[in-house]
Amino acid sequence: MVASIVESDWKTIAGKIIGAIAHGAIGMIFYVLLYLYILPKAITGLAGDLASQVAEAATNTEVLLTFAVFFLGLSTAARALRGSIYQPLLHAISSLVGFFVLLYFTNGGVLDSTIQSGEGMMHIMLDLSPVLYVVFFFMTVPGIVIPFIEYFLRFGEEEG
Amino acid sequence: MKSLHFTVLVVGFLFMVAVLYPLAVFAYEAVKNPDTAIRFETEDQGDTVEFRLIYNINISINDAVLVLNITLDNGTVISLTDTDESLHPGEALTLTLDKNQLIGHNVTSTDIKLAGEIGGVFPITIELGQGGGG
Repeated sequence: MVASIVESDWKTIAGKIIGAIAHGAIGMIFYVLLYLYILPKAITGLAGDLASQVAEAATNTEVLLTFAVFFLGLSTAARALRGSIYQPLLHAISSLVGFFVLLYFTNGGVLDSTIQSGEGMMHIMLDLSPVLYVVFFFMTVPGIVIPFIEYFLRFGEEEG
Repeated sequence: MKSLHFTVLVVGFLFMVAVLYPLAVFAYEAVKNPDTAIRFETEDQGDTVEFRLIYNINISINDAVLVLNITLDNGTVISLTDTDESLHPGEALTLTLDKNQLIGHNVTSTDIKLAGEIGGVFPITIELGQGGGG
C-alpha cells in the first residue's frame, strides 16, 4: 500500500519534472528563434550586406548554445515554480535578457559598414533603432508586465 | 489575459510593419534600380562646375544634407553644402563649384557625404571618399 503511494508520488514528481523540462524546451526554442534569428534578421534583412555581422553571430555555435541553455533554464524554472512570484519574475528576466541579446546582435540598432567602391571607399551608416523601440514597447515591456498582472489577478482570485 | 498579450503582440507587429515600410521601399528600390535610384551628375558650365545628386526613390529623405569636400594640394579644403528639409523623388541637391578656386592647384582628394532620415524615421549616412590627383 505504502509502496504504491510512494511509487505514485514519484510518478507525479517525475511527470512534473518532465513537463517542466518540455515546457522549458519549448520556451527555449521560442526565445532562441525569436531573439537570435527572427528579430535580428527581420531588422537587418533589409540592409543587405550589413546583415552579415548578425548572421555571423547567429551562426556561432558557442553563442547559440549559451543562450539556448540560459533560456531553457529560465523557462524550466519558471514552469517548475508556477504559482509562485518567481514565475513572473523569471518570465520578466527572459524578456529583458532577450531584448539585450537583440541589442547585442544588432549593435544597438546601428549598422555600420565600409565597402570598396571603384577607386574609393564607401561608408554607410544606418540607424535602425526605431524598430528596437517598437520591439521594446510591444514585446519586451508586455513580456515583463503581463506575467505579473496574471500572477496578481490569480493571487487575488485565490485570496477572494 | 492571454488575449491581451496576443493583442499587444499583434499591435506591435503592425507598428513594426508600419515603421519598417519606408526602409523596405528604400532598400527595394535602391537594389532594383542601383544606377538610377540615387544618381550623381557633374556639368561643366564654363566658369563653374555643377554637381547634382538626383534622388529617385519613392520615399522622401528628411533633413537631407549633401556635402562635398575637395582637398587641394596646398591643404585648402573647399566645402560645398546643400540641404533640403524633405527630398522627394525626382528632386536634386545641387552644389556649384567656382573653377577659379582650383586654378594653380591639384585636387588631392574628394569626399562626398549624403545624410538624412529615410521617411523621417531611419537616419542614414553615405560617405564616399576618393583620393587622387588631377
